[in-house]
Amino acid sequence: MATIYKWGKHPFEVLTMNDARQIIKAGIFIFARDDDRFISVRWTPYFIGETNNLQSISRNLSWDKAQKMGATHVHILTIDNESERKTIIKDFIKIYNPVINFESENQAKQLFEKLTQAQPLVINQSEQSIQSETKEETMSDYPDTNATSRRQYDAIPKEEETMPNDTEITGQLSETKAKLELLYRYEQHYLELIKEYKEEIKFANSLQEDLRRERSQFFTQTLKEVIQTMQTADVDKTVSAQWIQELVASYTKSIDLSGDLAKTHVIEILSLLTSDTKREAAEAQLDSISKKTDAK
Amino acid sequence: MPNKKAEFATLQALKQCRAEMVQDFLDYHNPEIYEPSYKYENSPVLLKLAREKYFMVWLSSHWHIFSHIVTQFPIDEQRSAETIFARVFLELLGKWSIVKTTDFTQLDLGLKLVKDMENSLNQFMKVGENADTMRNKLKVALEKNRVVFDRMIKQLSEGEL
Repeated sequence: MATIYKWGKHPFEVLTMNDARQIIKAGIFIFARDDDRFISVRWTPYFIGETNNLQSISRNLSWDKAQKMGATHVHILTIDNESERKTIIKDFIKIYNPVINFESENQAKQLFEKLTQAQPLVINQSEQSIQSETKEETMSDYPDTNATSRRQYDAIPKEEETMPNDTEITGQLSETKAKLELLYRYEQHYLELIKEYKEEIKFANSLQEDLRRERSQFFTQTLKEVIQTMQTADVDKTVSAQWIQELVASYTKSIDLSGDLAKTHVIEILSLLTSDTKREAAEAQLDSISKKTDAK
Repeated sequence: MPNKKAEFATLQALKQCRAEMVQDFLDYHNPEIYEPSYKYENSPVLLKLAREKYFMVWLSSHWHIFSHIVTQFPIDEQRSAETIFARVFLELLGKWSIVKTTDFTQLDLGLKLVKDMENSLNQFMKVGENADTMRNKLKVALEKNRVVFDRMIKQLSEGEL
């Protein structure tokens, strides 16, 4: 018997893709990951869609993408009525903000914007390229008239006056080499740390990204839907305005708090990284000083 | 190292509460929002009370939802997660009490209940690990909100009739 997981009030069957594509029915599907790293049953949705025939979902392009992101299962709710399916997924997308739905929507918006702005953009680009070409020509045609470069040339020391001797050069070179070695070790260690904290950084980043997406979704879409629902339900305008005002205030307070929490997490990781790197740099510096002393 | 699991559960609880609030508003059969909107359309005080009731109950639901999320954690992790969540929850309540103390049109009841919840949470955090008794007290403090509001609404509507 398949496991049941409730998304909102709707009980979905949790299936593998192999099992899901055996279902010859219409319904809603969610590509999701069992995020048992943190909580034993907690699903992250990547894509929410609906279809007349669930058999076809394995061919859905979003499945590959969702799998790459970590999706492991398909959640299925069979519903024959198409408009009911559409209403539910519309609500779900608003509430759960699945990444792939959000990206596709944004891409569609960007494409639309590009198409509508295509002409002026081309003109601007060609204008810009003409301008930059003219600028380049002007500069290369009259290099001698550039007073700054002349001053820079004058400032170059005459060879006989400042030429250092061989011992000085060797000393300077070995010092530069030591500095570069130190820098190299610092950078190497920094990269190792980043590699070590990769999962932490990814986690912190995904927290921030989720919150940004949720906030923008709420203010650009969900709020409109709520206002429309209240209008459709014939709630008095003043009454509705008061509810909406409190909804926005409560939502903002809660999401701000989540933002603060995520920010604190990022700061904690950054301070861990910084202190670790600083310690390593200090050790490397001490090491190089002792080497110098040994050499002397 | 930050306690990732507890922080994640906390963020998850906050997110779930926001999602449920939105879902309540999108469901025009929701009795807590839509029924008083018609019933008390002409009684601003009762309407305000109904709104405060909804948001107070929503605030209280945070603890319940969080507890549900951490049920699967081992007991010691549950306790440490509770301490982190209690701090965040207290901060959330703080945002309400600031608004309420500066907004003189607000009813005293909401403010009093927020203060009650804050007190219970503070006591809970002070007691620390052996906090079973305090945990129950906190649960009661959070659950009494709905009842107190219902009682007040009933009294006021009987007075109006």
